[in-house]
Amino acid sequence: MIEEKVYSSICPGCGLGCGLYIREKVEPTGDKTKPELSVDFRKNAPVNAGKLCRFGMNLPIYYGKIPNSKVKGKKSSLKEAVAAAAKALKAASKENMAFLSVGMSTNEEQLAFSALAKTFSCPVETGMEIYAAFPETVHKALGYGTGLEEIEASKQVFLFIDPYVSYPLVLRRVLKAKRKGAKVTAVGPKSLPLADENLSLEPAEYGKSLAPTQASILLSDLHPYSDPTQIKAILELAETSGAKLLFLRPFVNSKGATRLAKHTKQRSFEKLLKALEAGEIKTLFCLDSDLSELSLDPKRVKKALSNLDTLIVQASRSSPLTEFADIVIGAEPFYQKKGSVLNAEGRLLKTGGDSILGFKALAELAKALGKEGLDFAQVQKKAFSSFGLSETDEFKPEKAKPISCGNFELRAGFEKKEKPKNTKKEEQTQKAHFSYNFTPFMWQGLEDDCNFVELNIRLVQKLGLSKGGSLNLKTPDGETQMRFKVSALAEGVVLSEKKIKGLVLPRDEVELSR
Amino acid sequence: MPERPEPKAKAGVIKVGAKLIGWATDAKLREKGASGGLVTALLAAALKKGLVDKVLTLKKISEFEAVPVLTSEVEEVLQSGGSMHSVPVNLARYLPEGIGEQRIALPAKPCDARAVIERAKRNAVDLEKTFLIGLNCGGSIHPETTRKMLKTVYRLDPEEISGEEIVKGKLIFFTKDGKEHAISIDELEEKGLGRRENCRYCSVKIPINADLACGNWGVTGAFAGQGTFVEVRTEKGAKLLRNALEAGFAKVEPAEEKGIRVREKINRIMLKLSEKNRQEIFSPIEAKQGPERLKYFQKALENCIHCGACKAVCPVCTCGEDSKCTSYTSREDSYKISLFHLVRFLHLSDSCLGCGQCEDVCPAEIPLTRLYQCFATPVREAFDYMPGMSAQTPPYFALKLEKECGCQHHGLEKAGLEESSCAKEPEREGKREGQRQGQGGCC
Ligand SMILES: Cc1cc2nc3c(=O)[nH]c(=O)nc-3n(C[C@H](O)[C@H](O)[C@H](O)COP(=O)(O)OP(=O)(O)OC[C@H]3O[C@@H](n4cnc5c(N)ncnc54)[C@H](O)[C@@H]3O)c2cc1C
Ligand code: SF4
Ligand code: SF4
Ligand code: SF4
Ligand code: SF4
Repeated sequence: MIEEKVYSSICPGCGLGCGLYIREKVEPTGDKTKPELSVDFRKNAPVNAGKLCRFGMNLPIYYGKIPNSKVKGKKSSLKEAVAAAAKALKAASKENMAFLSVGMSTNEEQLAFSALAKTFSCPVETGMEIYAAFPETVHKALGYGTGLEEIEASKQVFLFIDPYVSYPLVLRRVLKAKRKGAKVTAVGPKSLPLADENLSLEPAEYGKSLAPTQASILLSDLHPYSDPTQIKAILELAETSGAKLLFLRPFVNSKGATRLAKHTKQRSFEKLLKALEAGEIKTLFCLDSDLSELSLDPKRVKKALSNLDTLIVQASRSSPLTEFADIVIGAEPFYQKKGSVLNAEGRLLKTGGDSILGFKALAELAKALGKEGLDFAQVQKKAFSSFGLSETDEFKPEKAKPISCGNFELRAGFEKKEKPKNTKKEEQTQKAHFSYNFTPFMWQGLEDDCNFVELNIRLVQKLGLSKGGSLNLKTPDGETQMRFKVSALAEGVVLSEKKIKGLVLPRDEVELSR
Repeated sequence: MPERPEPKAKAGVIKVGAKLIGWATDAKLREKGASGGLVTALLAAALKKGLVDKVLTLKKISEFEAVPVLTSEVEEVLQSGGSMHSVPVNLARYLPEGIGEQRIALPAKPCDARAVIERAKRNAVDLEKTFLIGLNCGGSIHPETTRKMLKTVYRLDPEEISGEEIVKGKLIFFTKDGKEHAISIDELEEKGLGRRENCRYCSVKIPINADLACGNWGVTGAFAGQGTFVEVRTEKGAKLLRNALEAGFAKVEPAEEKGIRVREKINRIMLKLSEKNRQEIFSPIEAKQGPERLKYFQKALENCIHCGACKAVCPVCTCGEDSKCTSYTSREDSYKISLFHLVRFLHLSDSCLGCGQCEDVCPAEIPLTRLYQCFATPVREAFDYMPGMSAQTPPYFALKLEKECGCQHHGLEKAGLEESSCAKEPEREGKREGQRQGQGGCC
């Protein structure tokens, strides 16, 4: 008989961690790595009241297949994979090792992974180089959270994100604020239907063009491709106005992972890639972090990874990296995990399952490398106390704190890429600034129905594009044909929710033609 | 709870049309139960005695949360007693898809029972094998609203709540310190809180479309607060009751005339209120015509993020993955209203129950049930057809509207589903009136 198990879990699609139920059916004789899953609405969840975005609704596809453990491409037991990983790590040189975990695992696993990395005196990389761009005195402010309820209570909401595509469960809170009379200002290239005013501004203009007050809230996000100059401008705006500030995050445990990591040693994905390409990293251990899914250039990642001596992957779902890795430690899917995550608001949430398979594998590895006695309960306690909390409580987000960073200089900004060379005749082409509108699908490597770029009607007319047709995008790395959608965008902007080869940094310049 | 006298009634009184007061023989079940624990006793007895293979019920997680489970464990059923007004779930979607071998019993509010019947019309449920134990329903509340009411109106910590009930139009919360806190639902609704909007205009309060219709209205005298009023609607319903009596799980008494009248009266008042609320909500929308109406719909839908939750949750939609609403839609289009919505409004205009599930799960806070009902109400009125009330009548868009006399039965005759002409109409009209009042036979 088919038995159904219901997990009261959270969505791993972004740093909100929306509550939901996962219904899992396993046939006794069926494929254990491919349970039949469905998503159900958990209306009592305080983060999202049971509502989900398109990514949350697609979780059964995202979870897909539970990865088999593997050693050198051959299916193995978990124990064999752990033993092989221990052997490979012991043989590796600590000078060219790297440990990557961006925040798609539990706090408990993250700490066990840190303990393992520490045996090699290595940090756990989270891809958040942005922290390295800020002096340490500012890190605390970057880590502050506040409940989504604060949005509803605000008189003015400033959006530096597009809640229709990024962190979509923020949208309803902004709509509720608006219904109560709040004014909504959207700062970005796209006009948002819910905004009272839409402004396309450079960070340097924020101070003089925006006038938040103490009754305002600023909503932005911190992710591996965030522009430090923009984040600095937002921090300054919050500090001078006394407005509340909430940085959203792309991964379910981005906040927990970042707080548990050492910020200053972080490298960007680009720098990690360069180090891989230069052969400076020879052993890479990824914990639920598929660099090819996270990077904006998956093909480049695959090539760079071939320079490794050993790629060890501990994963909760099958992905390109589990196909490619030398050793795969196949852990339980996220919804089955026992443990916690710290969401972007600072709510300490339970992941909802009862398995600590993944944690135990890491503890075993750490033990093999000399770090004895990683006990789940003790590790959990340590994680909680480092957040200043004693237990999970989904009903208690962090309380907003005033931003106080003082004057500071950025240590680094964005590298600008070279502009594409113009080959077509001037009148046939149009230059535009390219921007990504990051969605959970982009971060998690899941296909979405978005095989198009967005342009405004004037750009479409100038290029003479016909409805239903496509356009040519010339990037620093070559040319790509894309379909297009007409949107209310600022002049000279192209927006995409799909990764486009060669377009990495926000505001790259591209050349468009028919 | 005091021990009860031996009931005068025997299994013989249990026949279609009977109106009884029933209760669980087990004192603990009565204690846990919403009124007399009868529903839980019926479900448990059906499972225990093999009348059904499984029971679909709610597993309580907290005062404001319960999850539907399909179980074959009698113990799990026994744990499921009590009404949860802050669990606005529709159970129909949790029945196994398709016509299978399993016989299943479930508690069913009117919208649950109506959804099951609509699904049965689409061959997604086998009604013969489904036992619907209907629950009267005055409405349910979204748990997010419940928590908000507790904090802002009752001034109570939601974690301090140990129970709740609705008595005489008041929503009462019990706190762990043993105190009672009552506020009238009208007062809560004036503040924009209280029941979900669709429940305020829901037009079926007594589930006469189920096998049994159970509730606390009409429980009078010594049984007040400790018995369940049950109306036997079908032979299947009678079987469920007889089975529970034979198994020693439940007892029944014929209902008092006074109780029967009280139940009818409350139902009439509730339906009148629903109609008033319906007018209040829909008149301003209906007053908008042409471009103004289009604008209303455009504005209402402008925040849609295309998550698909409204479709996934809809208990009457059985189209699955390959459906017209999704295949005609692309996110690449820049239409002000996507074809997804337009197709759905039309597709559901003959079957939308107004159950509110779509609106509950919409992340863009779109008043979806209102929008669907704007399409469904004219169809309902034109055909005088209430979706989900009878398994015999197919969805009306499956039929042609006959012009000769405007009566739906010509359509049914053509489809070979009725044999006689509209001379039956006066008789049917009477029945339909009864159906509107929740009293008797439906078309
Ligand atoms: C939301 C709601 C509103 C109601 N409003 C009225 C009313 O206005 N007038 C009236 O006469 N009766 C109403 N009832 C019915 C009444 O509360 C009792 O359920 C009924 O009298 C049967 O009582 P019992 O003790 O026999 O049921 P119990 O033995 O307590 O069994 C109750 C059954 O209902 C199920 N249930 C609980 N909550 C829900 C839910 N939210 N959705 C679906 N199933 C659920 C339980 O799982 C259990 O199987 C309502 C019930 C609900 C759930
Ligand atoms: S908003 Fe984020 S956490 Fe919520 S359902 Fe969408 S992807 Fe998942
Ligand atoms: S829609 Fe009707 S039957 Fe359903 S919960 Fe609301 S009032 Fe009850
Ligand atoms: S459209 Fe909405 S209200 Fe109508 S039946 Fe479907 S879920 Fe219920
Ligand atoms: S649930 Fe709401 S946001 Fe999602 S598709 Fe339906 S209308 Fe759009």
